[in-house]
Amino acid sequence: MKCKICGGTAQIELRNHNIALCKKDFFNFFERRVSKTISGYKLFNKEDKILVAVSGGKDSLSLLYVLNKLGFNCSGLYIHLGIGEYSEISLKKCEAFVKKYNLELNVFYVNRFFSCGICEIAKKMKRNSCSICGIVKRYVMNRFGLETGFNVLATGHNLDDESAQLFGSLLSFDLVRLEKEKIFLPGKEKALKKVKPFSLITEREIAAYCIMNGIDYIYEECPYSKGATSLVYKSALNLVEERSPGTKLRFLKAFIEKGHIFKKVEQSLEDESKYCTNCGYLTYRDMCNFCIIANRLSRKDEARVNFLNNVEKL
Amino acid sequence: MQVELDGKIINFESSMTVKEILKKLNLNPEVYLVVLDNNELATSDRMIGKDQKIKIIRVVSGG
Repeated sequence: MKCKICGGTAQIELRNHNIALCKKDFFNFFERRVSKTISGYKLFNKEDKILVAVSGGKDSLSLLYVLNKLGFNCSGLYIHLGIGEYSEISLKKCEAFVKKYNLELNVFYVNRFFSCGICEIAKKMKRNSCSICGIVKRYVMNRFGLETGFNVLATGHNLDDESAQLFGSLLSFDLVRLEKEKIFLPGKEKALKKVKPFSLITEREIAAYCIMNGIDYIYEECPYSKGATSLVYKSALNLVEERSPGTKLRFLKAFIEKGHIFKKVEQSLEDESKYCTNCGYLTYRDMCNFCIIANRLSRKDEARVNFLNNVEKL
Repeated sequence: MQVELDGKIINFESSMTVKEILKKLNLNPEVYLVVLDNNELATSDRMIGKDQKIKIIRVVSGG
């Protein structure tokens, strides 16, 4: 197969764009589309200070890589979840990555803050690990970013993640989740602006970008993600994609264009926002979910005053 | 040909295109990438010789 741009040997075929590209032209194509998403949706600009949430996986490492390459002011934040060997391997991948490309990485240790990892917290709270992990990660990313001078939080969510999430939300017609299905959520008092620059790029393209650039990422999945429903949705959408290339992209773009029909829900959520009585960050109750966990694990005071003591800069 | 998939080795005795290999293994081409031993990626029409080694990488992540 020949590259559609230069006629050389193609390394990747993108059926959703009806194109095959060599390595050099794929890099240009990929980076141009990320740039276009950033400028087209006004995600951020060169003046912004961007915190990139990294996990050691292909999406987050390539996001930090490409934003740095495009000249944005960005640093990584890795949250060490205390999930045994998985956390150790993923931290090592992040450390090796930032060393190779001379980037800045901040590491927040859940173990230091709570004196135990995500799984033990989940057991103590009698909730599942994924739900506790989500609460902790969302809180740490937002608070760390705000308290250290960042104004944008970027995550590596890709087209497959976003279309699977949308598919799941539509199956149950979950209006609250549908309202959050956006390429960016604007910042407000005590909440960073949240952006997803890879929303329109498939994870196949991102994996190819990583491999071609020699970015060493963790292939293993979190041991708690096995059997996740989102993987079933991804699989279903990829079956459709195989038969009808471009389906995932059309699905998400159509929703972005017509998502305003959920404006009413957004308004009602805005009205419910208040501030946590312990830490002062956003919550829908008197105390935020993070402080409820901290309180149960006798870390309530830590959550108020010593939060940044649990971060190391590499 | 030697194919590495999910840490396992599968051997095929004849040359095949990438498309044929994925079909034989019942793998969706939207979910996998094929990496040659020189670290280059191979498109679906690429012929893989019977003495070549390739790695098939699953690209789906998350939960």
